[in-house]
Order: sequence, then structure tokens, then C-alpha cells
Amino acid sequence: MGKALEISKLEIGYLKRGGMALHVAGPLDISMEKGAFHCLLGPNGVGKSTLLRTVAGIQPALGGDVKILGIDLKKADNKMLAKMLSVVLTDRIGHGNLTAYELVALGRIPYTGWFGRLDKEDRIKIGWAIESTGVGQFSGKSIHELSDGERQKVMIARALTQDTPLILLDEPTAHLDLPNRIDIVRLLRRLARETGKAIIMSTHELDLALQAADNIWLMTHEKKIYSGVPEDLVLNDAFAKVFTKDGVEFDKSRGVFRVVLPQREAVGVAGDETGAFWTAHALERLGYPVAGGSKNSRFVMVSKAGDGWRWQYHKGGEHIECQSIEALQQLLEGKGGVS
Amino acid sequence: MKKRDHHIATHRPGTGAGLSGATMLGISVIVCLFWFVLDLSFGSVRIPFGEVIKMLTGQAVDNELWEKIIFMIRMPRAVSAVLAGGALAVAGLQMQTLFHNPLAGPSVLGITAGASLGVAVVMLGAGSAASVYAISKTGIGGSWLIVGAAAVGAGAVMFFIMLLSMRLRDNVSLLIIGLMVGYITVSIVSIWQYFSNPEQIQDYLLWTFGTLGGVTTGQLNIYGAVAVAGMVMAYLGSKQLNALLLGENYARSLGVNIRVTRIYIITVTSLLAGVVIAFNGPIAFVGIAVPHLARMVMGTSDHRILIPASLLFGAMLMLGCDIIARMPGSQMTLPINAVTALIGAPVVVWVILRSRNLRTAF
Repeated sequence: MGKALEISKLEIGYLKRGGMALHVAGPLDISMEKGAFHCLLGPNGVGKSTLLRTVAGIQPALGGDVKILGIDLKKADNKMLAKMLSVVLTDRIGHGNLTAYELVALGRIPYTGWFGRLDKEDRIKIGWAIESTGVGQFSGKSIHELSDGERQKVMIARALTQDTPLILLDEPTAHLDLPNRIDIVRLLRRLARETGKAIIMSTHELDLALQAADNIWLMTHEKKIYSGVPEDLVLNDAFAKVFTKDGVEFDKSRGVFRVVLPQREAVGVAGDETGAFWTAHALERLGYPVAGGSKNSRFVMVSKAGDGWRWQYHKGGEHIECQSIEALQQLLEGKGGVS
Repeated sequence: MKKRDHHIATHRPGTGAGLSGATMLGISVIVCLFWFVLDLSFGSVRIPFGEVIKMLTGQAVDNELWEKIIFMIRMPRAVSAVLAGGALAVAGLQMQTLFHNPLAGPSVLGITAGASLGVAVVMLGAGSAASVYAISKTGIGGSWLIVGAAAVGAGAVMFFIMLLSMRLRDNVSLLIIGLMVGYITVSIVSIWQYFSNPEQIQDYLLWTFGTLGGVTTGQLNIYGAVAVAGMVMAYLGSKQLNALLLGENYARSLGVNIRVTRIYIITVTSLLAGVVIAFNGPIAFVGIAVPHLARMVMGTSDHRILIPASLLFGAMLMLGCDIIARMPGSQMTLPINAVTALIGAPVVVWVILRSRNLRTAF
């Protein structure tokens, strides 16, 4: 038994007609432990899906090895592979006559006999997968009746039912709203811990990955891959290097991307913590660097006033009061007739 | 019956293909048998329903003519209706699942067109008066020559598609190529028709109308053996078909060998469609429509239920169309190919409008 997944000298890409190869990335050397939850990040077009498809055996590698629990994938046939890894893809499932239960049950195909009849063990595994993913209350519904978030959980339950040491998910949080995205990521992280399975998910949700992943694999335009704990990748500027584009910069202090705007004169913010946070948020959005607090030559003092908030804009000994951030914005931009 | 079944289907608990599926198949078998006896009973000579059952159960009936009519003429006809309807429906179901396309049917692989070309070669190409005379003497449908020609034509196209399917990775390309092969074949036939004698064209046209009555008892053995073998093979592939419901990539990740499965499904479909076309002519419509009926009525996507259901519904549809085609009480017989669509299409439209779940059911 080796590591859950070991990738060594892997070259990924597409074979073209006449033996020509379109090289996407490589050589890649990464590995992961059992029970770990990894996120695969990278800008569009660097080959996240290609890497997942290559590991899943959907497309052949151009070179190198992929080993799951020490078993070389090249030596595994279709049926063995089906017991080593399961996938959640972006492919849409069209057939609405399938109920959620029936779809989850299809995950047992590698284990069932000729006609796919489910025995007691199969039913226990299906029941367990449905329970751990929390899809029990809609398991009788047909899949076209489910919301996107529910359907994605059913697909995860199906992958669990396949009972493999490795689960690969290709952008499972795409098209979902924020609560559902968080829900899916939390579910995956918990499943990895509880089941000891290695779970890899590709995503564009940097903030979610930073919060939940044990490890991040960051693919770059230079056909390389950075592997590391999320915080290390922030501090060593890996994110900044990979994602920085014209007009966007990675804010290391917060772990978010910011739109770069023409810089203006700084404004200080002081007062109530929550109020100050969102005021600073608004000021940064408008392109005013926030610095200095009340020591700045001009600053905003935020305070609670009854049910609402109040903003006092101080400049050169004078102060003007605003009832909303919108009013404050108009004041700063020189609109709204306030001098 | 359909209305009630559908009602049951929508309230079926989602615990897999349970008892209700099996029960509904049982009901379908009984209804199908009823249609079968009804088909034997109707015709230019009306034979009472009870008498037909007596004859079928081996009891003596005091009418030798009736016995002859039932066993020599109507029985082969009714059996071939069951085989044709069942085989085409199962073939259509397989194609729709393989290609993930609700409009797919046995004809999409160009097999129908291939069979037509085979028949056209015999009927139009045989310029000599002798062969035309031979064909007309043996009767269009009753001729082994025609059956053979259709089988060879269907087989040739099937072989070609098979070669392509080994090269191609995805099914959509295969679907398009199948359609193109069909168009090419049809246009060869039409060019051939353009340069043929009116009498030859008439013979060919008669064949394209389709017939259930042309199958002799001797031919029925071979027809039955091939069709039943095809249906059994289709049923044996139901697990792979179920995996394909999730799409090719998921099926592959579940350990299904896509290439082998694809070749298997194409072989079975070609066998089923080819044998029907060879013996009954190019019967359209059944293969596309019946799988949708089966899905809607049974309320499942499980092929272990859908394959027998399509078989039974296809058989019922053909038996019903046959009864209408022979216009009970008259001496006339309408071409079966016209009746299937003329009667069947409104039925399908009605069912779709009633249940409104075709889009979601597929």
C-alpha cells in the first residue's frame, strides 16, 4: 500500500493525428495522502480538466506514471480502474426518469453481476452513501426535479457508492450559489476525514479552497504545478504569480483578488468595527487607499445611531455628516452639492 | 390502460425497479395476448373471439376453413407483427440510449437504407425479364431473393458502420456518419429508380410500403429465431445500457468498455432491424416512438424494465395497426407502413400532450 495518489513525471496532453502530441503540462510530480482533501486551482486553460481526465484514465498520459495505492494505472484495466477511482464530471445527466436513488445505485455497477442486481451489501453501501451526503429526503425524486445543489450532492453520493480510494471532482461547485458551494466543499472535506478517501476537486473558488483544502495544487501557464498548504502558497506569492493579470492583483493580506484602480488620496476610517470594515470595503472599491485611521488628514468616523449608521467625514477640522455610504461616496466624488 | 399505468408510474416509490415494474410488465403481457387473439379474430372473414381461443388451446372447432385461415394465414401474420414491432422497438430503445438522442431509431445507422439498396439492386438492377418474372411469380414478400438482398444490404452497411465505430471515439460523430451513409444509399436508389422501367419501380415501391402478410411459415422459423436471439442479446446488455444513461465518460469510469459495448449494441440493433426489414419491408416509426411510450408509461430509465416494455408495446402497436390495416369486414389491405405512422403518430402525440414529461423522461 502506498500513498493514495502518486503522480511522477506525468506529462499530460493530447495525441494528434500522425503521432504529434499537444503538450499541455508536465513533468508533474505530486502526491497525496489518504483522507486528504486537495483543491486543484489554476487559470482557465492551463489543463486542470486534462490533468483530472488523465488521472481518471479517460485520456491517456503522454508519459510518466500515476499510481493509486501503489498500483500503476497503466496496469489496471477498465474494471479495476472503476474500483480504484470514481469521478464527478461536468457532464449533464439528461435522463430525468432516473430517481436520485437509482442514480446513486448505478455507482455499484463495478461490483454487481451480469444484470446489475443489487445484493444486501450493495444496498448497505448505497444507504450509507445517501446518509453521509444527506440526500435521503429527496432520494425518491427524479433527478430533473432536483435543484443544482441537490443534484451535485447526488452525484457525490454516486461516487461514494463506487467505494474507491480516490474521488476526482471536476468543478463540482460551478453554477451553485454561495451557500451551496460552501455546503459541497464542507461535505467533501468531511467525507475525506471520515472515510479516509483521497478527494481532489478542481475549482475556481480561491477563497473556498483557501479555507477548506488540506493542500492546493496550483497549475501555472508555465506547464508546472505548485503543491503546498494554502497559506504557504499565499505567502510565497505563488497565487500572485499565477493569477495576476492586467487590472487584477492578489491581495496577500486578505487572500482575495482586487481590481486595480487609479490610486487616489488616502482616507482614514475609524469607529465601529463592522461599520468600519464595510466603509473601508466601499472606499477600496472606489479606489481610495484606506490608511491611517483618525490620524489621517481626512478620515471617516463610523458610528451606530439608533437603528442605522452615521458617517462623519472629517477634513481640515471641519466635518460633514452622511446617512449612508452612498451619500459618503457622493461627498467624496464631489457630487451632491456638499463643499 | 395507458392513463392508469401512467398514474401508477408517477407515484412509484423511488426504490429502484421494484414490484410495480414487474406487475406492469405482467399486465402488458396479458393485454398483448388479448391484442394477438383479436388480430387473429379480425379480417375479411370475422371469426368469433371465443372460437379463436378454442382453436388456440387445441380444442376441436367445427369449421375447417376457419382453422386454415387462422393457422395458415393469420397466425404467421400476427406472429410477424409481434416480432417486427418488438424487434424495432427494442432496436430503437438501444439507439436512443447509445446516442443520447430522443430522435434516434433503428434507421439512424443507415441500416434501413442499406436494406433498401439491396432490394433495389435485385428489383431495379435485374434488367432481364426472367428475374423480374421470377420475382413477380413468387410474390414480392414471399421471395427468399428479396429477403436475402435486404439482409445483404443491411449487413453491408452494418459492417461499414462497425469499421467506423472502431475508429471513432465519440458517438455523435458516429450518429452523423450513420445518417450520411443513409442519405448516400437512398440517393443511389433514387438515381437507380430514375433510370428504371415503371414496372420495376412499381415493384420496388410496393416493397417499401411494408407488409406483414408475406412471411411464410417456413421463413417464420428463421425470422423468429433471429429476432428472439436479438432481443435476448439486447436484454443481456441492459446493465451496460443503464451505465450509458450517465453518458459515455461516466460509463467508462464505471468500468464499462465503451468500444466493445458500442459494437455489441450496434450488432444487436443491426440484427433486429435488418431481420425485420428483410421480411416485412422498411417499417418506420415504431422504432422511434415506442421507446418513448415505454419510458413514459413505466416511469423508469432502467433497461431491465424498458427492454421488455418496449418489446411488448411495440408488439401491441403493430398488432393494433395490423387490425386497422386489414380494415375488418372488407377485402382490402392498407400498406402497413402507412398505417403505423397514420395511427401511431396521433396516439404518441396524445400521450405526450397528456403526460407532458417526454422531455424530462428522456
